[in-house]
Amino acid sequence: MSGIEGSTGANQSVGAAAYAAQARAHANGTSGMHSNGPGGPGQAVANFADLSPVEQGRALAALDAQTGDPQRSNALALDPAGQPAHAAAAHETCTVEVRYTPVALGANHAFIVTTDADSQTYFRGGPAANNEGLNSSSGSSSGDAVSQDFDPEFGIYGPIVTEYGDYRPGTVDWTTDPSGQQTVDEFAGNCDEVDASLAGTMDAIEDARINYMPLHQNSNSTVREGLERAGYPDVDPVVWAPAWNTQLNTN
Amino acid sequence: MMRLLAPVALVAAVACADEEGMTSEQISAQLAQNLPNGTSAQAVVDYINENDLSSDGPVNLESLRPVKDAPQTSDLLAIVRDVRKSALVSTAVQMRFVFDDEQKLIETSVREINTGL
Repeated sequence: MSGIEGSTGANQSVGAAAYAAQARAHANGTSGMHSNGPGGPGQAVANFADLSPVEQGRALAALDAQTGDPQRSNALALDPAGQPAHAAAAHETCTVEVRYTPVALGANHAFIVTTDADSQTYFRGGPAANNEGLNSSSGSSSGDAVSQDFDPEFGIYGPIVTEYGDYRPGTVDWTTDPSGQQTVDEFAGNCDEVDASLAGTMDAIEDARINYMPLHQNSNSTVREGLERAGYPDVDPVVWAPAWNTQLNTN
Repeated sequence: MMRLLAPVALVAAVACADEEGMTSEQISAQLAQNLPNGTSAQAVVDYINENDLSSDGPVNLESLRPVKDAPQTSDLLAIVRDVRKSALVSTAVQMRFVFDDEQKLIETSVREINTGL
């Protein structure tokens, strides 16, 4: 299953469901430019309206303290349409980026990084094996190597496997010097919704067991598929990323 | 022009010989022998740095992060890149060390991750 954490320890499993739950938990006032999922403007207002008068007062006081701008809390209290609810998250920004690392002969491997105030998360795909079918060891613990038998259904690279998790040193695509970097979107609020979408797509791609073919369907196809399903269908890579435009069928 | 010729060169490159480095099994065995459960986080950090097991530069105690959904534990990641390279895919070995609230090692896992186009 996908995810650095998901592959190596149940305690850190970060699946689509977890992201979706997070997104729902943080739905209030975090929708930013993305209003089609949980946490749209209406939801934000409904949650605020559900608070008792005392709780509302505390929330508004906290907002004042956080923003230093009482006009925002005044607007929230006065405007039942709820647009000012976004003010609570206005100081937070989600940035969606594609970054690249070089592979060979000018060709690049793409991966996605989302960044908000609380987290930086990567999403990526790659081959399950390296030139040896599925005979390569894919995971082991404390010396107990685990090997998978060769699966004739796939070629020497096996199927596309995906993962996502905290982007930090020690993760597979960590780099401070990418060969390319582009901002796909930047909006007020956190990245919960887009993270949930990307995680769901990564899971779907891995579950579909799509044959990894370096020049035809690969990590770059995985990134484009994730972006498209997250609402970014027209992203063009800033460096050469073979198979970017390949549609991955997860049905 | 480069973009026209590069795909041909890439296909040709697929036939290139592999480069071999350490395997995940070797690293696993090395860690199991030298970093048993109960080892302090500082000793793990020192071992990683002294044995060049972090391609991302030296690790330190500040590299530890709380584990999601398990606030009493923290983890440390280290990765050795390019342990095996074919023409279009490279393999890295990633190590994850999990520590308890006293920063004693309670779990070690090692896995291979492949990066290609």
